Amino acid sequence: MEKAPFSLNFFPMRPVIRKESKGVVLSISPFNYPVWLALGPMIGAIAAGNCFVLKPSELSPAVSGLIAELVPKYLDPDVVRIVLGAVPETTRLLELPWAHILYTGSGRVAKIVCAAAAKTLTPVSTELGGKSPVVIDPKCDLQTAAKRIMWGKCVNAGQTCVAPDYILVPEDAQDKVVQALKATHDEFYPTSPSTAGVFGRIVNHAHFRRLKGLLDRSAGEIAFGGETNENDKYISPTIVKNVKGDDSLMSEELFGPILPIVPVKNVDEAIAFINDRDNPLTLYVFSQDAAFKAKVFDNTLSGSAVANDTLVHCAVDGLPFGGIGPSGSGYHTRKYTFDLFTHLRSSLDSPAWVDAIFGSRFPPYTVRLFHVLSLFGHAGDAIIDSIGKEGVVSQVTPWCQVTSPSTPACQWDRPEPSSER
Amino acid sequence: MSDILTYTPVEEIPKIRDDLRATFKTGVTRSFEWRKRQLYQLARMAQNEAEAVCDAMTRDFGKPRFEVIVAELSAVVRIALKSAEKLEEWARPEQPDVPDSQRNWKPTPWNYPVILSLQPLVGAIAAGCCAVLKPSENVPHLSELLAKLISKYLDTSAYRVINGAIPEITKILELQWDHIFYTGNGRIARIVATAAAKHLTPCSLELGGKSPVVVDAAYDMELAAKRILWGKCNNAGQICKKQDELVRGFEKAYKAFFPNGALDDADYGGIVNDFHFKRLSTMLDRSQGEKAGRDPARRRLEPVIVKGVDGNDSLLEEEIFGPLLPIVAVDSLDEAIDFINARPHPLVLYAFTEDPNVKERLINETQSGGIAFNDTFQQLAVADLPFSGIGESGYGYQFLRYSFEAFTHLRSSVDIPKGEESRLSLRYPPHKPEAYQVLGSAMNIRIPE
Repeated sequence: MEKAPFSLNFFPMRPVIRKESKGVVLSISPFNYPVWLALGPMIGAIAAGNCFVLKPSELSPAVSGLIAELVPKYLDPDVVRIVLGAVPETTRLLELPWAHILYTGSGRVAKIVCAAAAKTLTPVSTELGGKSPVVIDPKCDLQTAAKRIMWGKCVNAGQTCVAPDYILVPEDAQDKVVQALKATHDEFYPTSPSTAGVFGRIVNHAHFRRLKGLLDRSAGEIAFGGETNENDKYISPTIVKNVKGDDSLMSEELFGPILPIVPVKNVDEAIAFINDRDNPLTLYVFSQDAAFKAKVFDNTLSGSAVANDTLVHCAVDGLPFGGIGPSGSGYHTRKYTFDLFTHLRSSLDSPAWVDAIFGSRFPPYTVRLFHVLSLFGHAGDAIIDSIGKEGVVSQVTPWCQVTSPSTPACQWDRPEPSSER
Repeated sequence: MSDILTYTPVEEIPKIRDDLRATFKTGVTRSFEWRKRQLYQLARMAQNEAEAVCDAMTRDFGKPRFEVIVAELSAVVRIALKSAEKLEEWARPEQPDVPDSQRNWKPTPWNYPVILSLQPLVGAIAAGCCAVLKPSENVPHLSELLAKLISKYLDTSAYRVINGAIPEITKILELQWDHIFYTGNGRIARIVATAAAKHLTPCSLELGGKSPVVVDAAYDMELAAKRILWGKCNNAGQICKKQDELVRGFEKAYKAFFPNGALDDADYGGIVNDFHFKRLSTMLDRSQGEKAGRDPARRRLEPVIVKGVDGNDSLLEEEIFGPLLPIVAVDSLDEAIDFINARPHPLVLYAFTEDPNVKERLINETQSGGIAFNDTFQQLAVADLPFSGIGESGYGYQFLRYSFEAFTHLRSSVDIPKGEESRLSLRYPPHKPEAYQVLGSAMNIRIPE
């Protein structure tokens, strides 16, 4: 419970903000971090006292099946349930009203979820994605930058909502960047990324084919990588340079281990490039120059603004993680997730004696009552303050009007009760 | 198009949005000084134009001057000034780099047309957004006036009013907005939310429903009656044990409020239009309870207390939104709670009782947007309390800081220095066993019993 900010006028009425559970909430989670994105929201929802239905992804059948098996063993099935399925099952879930729906996944499906929720007036939060750009200041510490960018791209084979999607850098620095990335790649994978257990795979054949298609159709040049193996759903970390804005690799969120580099003239062009596209979930800037960072962040919009690293902001305690526009709405981590599933129920408890002061609110309404009320804040403390300061014109009514040089002056009296309606 | 209200040409609507978008891109709304100036202008408008506003309200539906000034205009002044005072603090990082959402659309209702239109606008201005306001066509005089006044007092490159009805609203809903704040009813709210879904636009829906009043038999009936009658807006089912005493309390309060009867009293408002007058009349006619006076010519309906109402009565089918107060007699608190829970979550639950057990049970066993003990309506005056519904009564909070937050995006930011590298490098492949131990140390934490 939170006490409302103290107000002399209302404290006898004991205003209190109760933090209450919303009720029964639904979370639809994706395949890419199938444990964390299934259980993370569950933690916040349970902490906030809700009942929880989870619909984990059918694209990660082994993990989803395991969650469905384990959760009832550890948690009370009267409170938490798992629903397994794909489109028909999800559709049925969405026909029902929920106290809140959390959808984590793609923008395309999010629109379907929101449209369904609209029919039941269910509030929805969405954690989506998009293309998270990386703006590199050529003067930055490139070695560290390359390491952190490569790491962000390689984790889960690039299937992360905040994976660095593409790089923007001045043309003449492009090759330097490629070299630094390659050096890091070789450090990470001294044998080969295809070695079992060191590097992820694409979740299914459909996505593998999607990514391979984007790569094949690209007009850019593969600087290194580009190895694929359909049986294994393996795509090696791949850097593609000289990519243009209308390239296949720039047409959708990659969600794979392919990293296009889009050469630009300067940081202004990079900013314009970003602003011409959907608000990203995260915007990355690599620079040690405060002015450079400020320029990029101040002139763009994104879910999060991260300098000099990738992915880590999701793990920072107390930072609200969320998108804006097509990248989503609603915030996560710790208390933010708790708040997502909490209803602030305002409450007042008004003692009888209060009417001795507030009795004036009851009709018949008289001039005297206006005056009494104005003294008790209904009229606004500022009016009372300015009455003293600015030499007010006082008329028939106590509704004193403040005149000052910049205010268009106008006079008004309280008219006689009008017989016209 | 009505003769009083000028509808905005449909073709102009996308251009209005584009203009505001362009303004937002210039960054002018970022300046705290700029926002404060706009907020002061809004406050000035509420003060200086009070007369014109009261007049328009009288023409539209006879709303008493007292209600306009106290419940609406003064609240706008106070909230605008407080927001101006606080916005810098609200905008400060704690939330690093708080950028602003862009444009918001607020279709607003007709019942408290000033406060409900302008209060969200205050939040939007404080948060540095550009905004379009679509006021209700059910109060044509006021909405026409608002269009004129907003353009006179505020910077029109950032704030615009669009007037109209279904075709204009449909056009507005086709466009992308960064947030939509809708105040009104559940039917339209579904249309708004469906349209917003196409662009993944977040919404705030401030709706209504039937706000029940539970009256504990032990409570002072006269006092309860007085406060309930006063809070006549949105009052729907009232549930209590001692109906007759309550009814006598109402009779007494009614005589005190309106010594000459309400139909002719200037301090008592009229029904907004013929459609709603007929709706209320029909609802009343179909009710099985006992009723009283009306005046169709002036669209005035006396406050009517109807006793002996049961759960299936016409008066309980939908939100009344008029001065009819059905009383449903129940035998116990259990029955009252069941009655409430069998219906959609109300916007507000009122209860008149001093008994802490009754309060406790009502708090714990029901859900509602807000809960108010021993008074009605007054909770809206505490602007520092977040106001919202739950379930059918809507979602999204408003007033002061909450309005500000509705229109603000928390943009998280981190800046990781190179110096952290020695600690962070454990995360890079190839992964040594040490990496699992350090980064995966939670796997060995002791969990409490």
